[in-house]
Amino acid sequence: MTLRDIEHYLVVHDMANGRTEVRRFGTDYEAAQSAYADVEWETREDANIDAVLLSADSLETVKRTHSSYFERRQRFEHLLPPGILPTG
Amino acid sequence: MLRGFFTWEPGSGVIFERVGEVPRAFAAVSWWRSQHAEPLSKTATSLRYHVARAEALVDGRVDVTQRLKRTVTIGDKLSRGSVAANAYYGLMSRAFALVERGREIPVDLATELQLAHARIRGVLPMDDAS
Repeated sequence: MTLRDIEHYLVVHDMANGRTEVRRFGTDYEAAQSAYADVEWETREDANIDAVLLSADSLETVKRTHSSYFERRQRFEHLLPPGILPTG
Repeated sequence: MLRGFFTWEPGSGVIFERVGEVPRAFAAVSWWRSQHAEPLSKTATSLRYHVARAEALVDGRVDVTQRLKRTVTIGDKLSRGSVAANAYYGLMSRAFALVERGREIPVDLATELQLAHARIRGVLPMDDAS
């Protein structure tokens, strides 16, 4: 794998609802950085938004090295005793 | 200054007097961060090589991810004063490798980061691979 094979993903995590959005930029690092700055600026007053620019050979790798962005909801849910969370 | 702006809440009683400077500060830190993007990619690529060479794979994979830090985080740390070259580079970015617990990768990334920092400052040319 070379430098030019690295793919860039802007991961935007909303801590309020536990949702994670991934924006793919392929190998266009400049576009990814530009979008990163835009998101940071647009969400500057929203403390629940955590945006981060991650780069790797694939999204699968990003999910493995930064699993907390993708598994947070499930991680905490499985620690709770049955009946705590509403059903449906 | 960026941190103060980003964490300010209406009605909190805090008056942020330098709000007019925020867009310029944000643009400056964003640009400075962008100067570290390519050296970070080189470092992450090097880390991939060393993980594979050490055969420190997890599930048969080399898992290396690089991350450019948030503008407000960089602004925070830069405002605290001068730091060593390789630590300074760490303010801007991180490279992560997933390896087995307790496994060590014999690689001198500190030297590579110092070279990257020298390239960013213009002490070394960007295409100098030494």
